[in-house]
Amino acid sequence: MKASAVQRHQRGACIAGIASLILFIGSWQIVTATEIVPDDVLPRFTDVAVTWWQLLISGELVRQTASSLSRQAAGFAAALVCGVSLGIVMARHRMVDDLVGPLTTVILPIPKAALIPLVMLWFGIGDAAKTIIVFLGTILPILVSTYHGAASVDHVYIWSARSMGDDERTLLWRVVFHAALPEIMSGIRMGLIISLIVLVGVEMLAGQGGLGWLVFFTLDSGAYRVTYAAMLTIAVIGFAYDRLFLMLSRRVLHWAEQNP
Amino acid sequence: MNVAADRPGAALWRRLRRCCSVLLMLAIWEGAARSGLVSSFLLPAASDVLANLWRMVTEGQLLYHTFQSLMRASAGLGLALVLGIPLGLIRARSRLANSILDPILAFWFPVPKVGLIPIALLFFGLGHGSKIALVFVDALLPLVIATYQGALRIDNRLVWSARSMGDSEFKILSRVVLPGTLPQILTGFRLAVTVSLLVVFLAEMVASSSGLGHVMIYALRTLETKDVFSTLIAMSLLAFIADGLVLVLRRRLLVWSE
Amino acid sequence: MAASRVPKIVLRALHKDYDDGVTGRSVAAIHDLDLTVGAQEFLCLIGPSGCGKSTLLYILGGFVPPTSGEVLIDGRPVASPGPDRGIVFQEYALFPWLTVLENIMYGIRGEKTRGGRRIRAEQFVAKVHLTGFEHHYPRNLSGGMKQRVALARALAHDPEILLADEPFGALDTQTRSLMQEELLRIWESDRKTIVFVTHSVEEAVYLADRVVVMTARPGTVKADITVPLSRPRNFDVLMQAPEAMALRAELWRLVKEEVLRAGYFA
Repeated sequence: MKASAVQRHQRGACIAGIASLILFIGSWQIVTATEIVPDDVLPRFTDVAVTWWQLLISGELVRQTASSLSRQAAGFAAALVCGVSLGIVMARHRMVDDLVGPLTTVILPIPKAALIPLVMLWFGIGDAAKTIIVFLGTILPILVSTYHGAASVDHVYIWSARSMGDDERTLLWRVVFHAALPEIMSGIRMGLIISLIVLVGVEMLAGQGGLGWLVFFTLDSGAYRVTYAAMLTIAVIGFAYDRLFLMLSRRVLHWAEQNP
Repeated sequence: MNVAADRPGAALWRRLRRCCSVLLMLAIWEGAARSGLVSSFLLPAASDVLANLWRMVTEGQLLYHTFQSLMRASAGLGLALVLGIPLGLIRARSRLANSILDPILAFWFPVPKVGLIPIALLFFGLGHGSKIALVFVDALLPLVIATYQGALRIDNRLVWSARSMGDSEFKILSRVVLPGTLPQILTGFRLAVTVSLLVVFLAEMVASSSGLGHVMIYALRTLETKDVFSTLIAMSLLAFIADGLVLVLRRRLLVWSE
Repeated sequence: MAASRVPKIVLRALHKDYDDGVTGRSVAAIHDLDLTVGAQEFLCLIGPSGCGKSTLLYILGGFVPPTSGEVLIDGRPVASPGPDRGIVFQEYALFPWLTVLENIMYGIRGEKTRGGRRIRAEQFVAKVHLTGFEHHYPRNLSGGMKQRVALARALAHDPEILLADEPFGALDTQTRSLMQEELLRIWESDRKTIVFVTHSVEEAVYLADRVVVMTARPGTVKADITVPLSRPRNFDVLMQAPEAMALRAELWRLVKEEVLRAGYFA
C-alpha cells in the first residue's frame, strides 16, 4: 500500500529530526571530549546523561518536574477558561469590549517578565504567586486571539444561525466558538509557550522548587551537570507539550480547510 | 460598505467610552491607594509612582540602566537579523537546507529559552555577553521563520522573469526576493523586538548588576514598592515605544505595498 | 397563481441609510420603497450592483434594521431574524465544522428526539439528491453540492418564506442551470414564498412569478412585472417563447437604464 504524501512527509520529518538530534549530541560530545570547550563550562554529554539518569531514579527530577508542571497547569487552565470566554463575550458585546478592551490594550505592551517582581511583591514566593504569574502571562495571547477570531466570524454564519432560530446566547457556543476555533487554537499554542517561559523565569527568581529553581540553584552551587540535565528536561518538556498540542489541534480542527 | 453599520457618530462615541474606561481605572487606582483601602506598601498611588519615576530619572540612574538594557537588546537583535534573514532566505530557496534546519527550528521553537540563562552565564559570565547571547537566541527563531514564510510566498513568476533577464542569483535574492519578503520579515521583527526586551529584562533580573531588570529586582529585594512600579512603567514605556517605532518603520518601508 | 387576501410580506415607505466608511457621510441605500409579496409567490429582485437589493433582503430577514418604514410579515412587524424566514447566501455559509447531515439538522426544532431530527434531515438530503454524502464535511464538497446543502438546510426548518441572495452567483453555468431546475422542482412540491435576488435577467424570467426591477442607489422600485409564463416551466421550450424573449428584452432595457444612470460606464 502506497503511503500518502502526507505520511511520507511526516516520516521524512521524523528521520530528519532524529538525524539532527544525533548531529547535535555528536557535536556536543566531540566539542567537550576534545576540550575545545572546557569541562567546567560545558560538561560532556555522557556525563550529563548519567547525571540525568541519576536524578530520575532518585526521584528528584520527578519531584521538581511535578512541582513545575502543577503550577503551570493550574495557571494555564485558568487562563484558558477565562481567556476564551472573555474573548468571545468581548467580541460579541460592545459594552464588555469597551470596559475590558482598554485594560487589555494597556497591559499588552508590558513585557510579561516585568510583572514577575510585582507579583512576587504582592503574593510572595510560593505556589500562588507562580500560578498567578503563569495565568497573567498566558491569558493575554489567548484573549487576543480569541477576540480576533470571534470578531472576524463571517456574518453569514451568524445570520444563518439566527434565521434558524438561535438566540444570541445559543449562537455564542454553537457558532461563534466553533468558527473562531482555528484562531483560538493558535492563540492557545502561543499561550502554552509563554506559560513555560514565564514559569521558568519566576522559578529562577523566586526559588521554592521546580525545574527553574533547580537550574539556577545548581548554577550557584557549581553542580553544572545537574544544571544541564535540568535544562535538557525543560527543553524536552517544552517540545513535548507543543507536539502534543499540535496533535490535539489537528484532531480538533480536522474540518478546517487545509492551509498549504 | 458595512451593511450592519450603526448610527452615524457611533464610532466617536465608542472611543469616548473607552477613554472613560481607562480614566475610571486610573481614578480607582488613585482612590484606593490614597484612601488607605489598600496599604500603600502594596499599591502606591499612581501619582506617587509617576513622581518616583521622575525622581529615578533625575536623581537615580534610570537612564543609564535603560541604556544598558537597550544596548544589549539591540546588539542581540542586530546579530539575530544578520544571521536570521539569510538563514530564512536560504531555507526558502534550498530544499536541502530546509530539511536540515526545519527539525532544529521546530524543536527549539516551543522551548522556553530562558532555561538557557545558566548556559549563557557559564559561557559569557555576568556581563553584557550573556544577555546579548540570550537575546540573539530568542530573536533568531521568529526572524528565520518569518523570513522563510515570507520568501515562500514570493510569486515564482517574478523570480523566473528576473532570471530570464540574466540576473545573478544574488541579485535575484536581494532585488526580488528580499523586498517581497519584507512585510513578513517586519512582522517577525516586531515579534522579535517584543521577545528581545522580555528576555533582556528577565536575564537582568536573574543575574546582572545593571539594566532595568536589575533595578527592578533590586527594588523588590529592598522592598521599595514605588521603585518596582516605576520601573514597571519604564519598561512598559520602552516596549511601547520600541513597538511603535517598528510600526512606523513598517509603514515607511512598505509604502509601496499597501 | 396564488394571491391571498393578506399579502405575506408588506414593505412600506422603507428607507435605509448607512455610514459611508470612506467619507463619513450618511448615504441612502434604499429610499421610499414599497413592495408587497403574496403568499407562496416567487418574486425576483433585479437591479444594478449596489442598488440595495441585498440590503432589502437583509432587512426582510431581520438582520439589518431599516432607518424608517414598515416591514410587515403576515401583517405583523418584524425586527429580528426568526425561523419563519430561511436564508441562502451566495457564499453557501455552511458551518465547516459540521457534516452535511449535521448542517441540515441544525435548524430543525419541531422534532422531539434527535433521531426524529435526523430522519427529517435525511429526507431533505434526499430531496437535493445528496444521499451518500451525509457524513462529508463541507470542505470536500463542490460549489454546487454546497449550495444544495445550504438550500436543504434553509428548507429543513420549514420556514414560510425563503430569502435567497444570489445563491447561484458563484456557480459555473452548467451547475447554475441544474440548480435552477432543482429549486423549481423543490418549490413546486412545497410552495413557499420566495424572495430571490439575482443579477441575471434570464434567471429571473425562468424562475419567478413576478420580477421587480430596482433603481440605482438610492434604490426604489422601478418596475414590477408579472411573468406571463405558465408552470411547470421547461427551460429550453420556454426561453424560445416570444413572450419570454420580449420580457427578457424589456427587463434588460430597464436594468441597463439604471446601470448607465449609476454612472458605471460614464
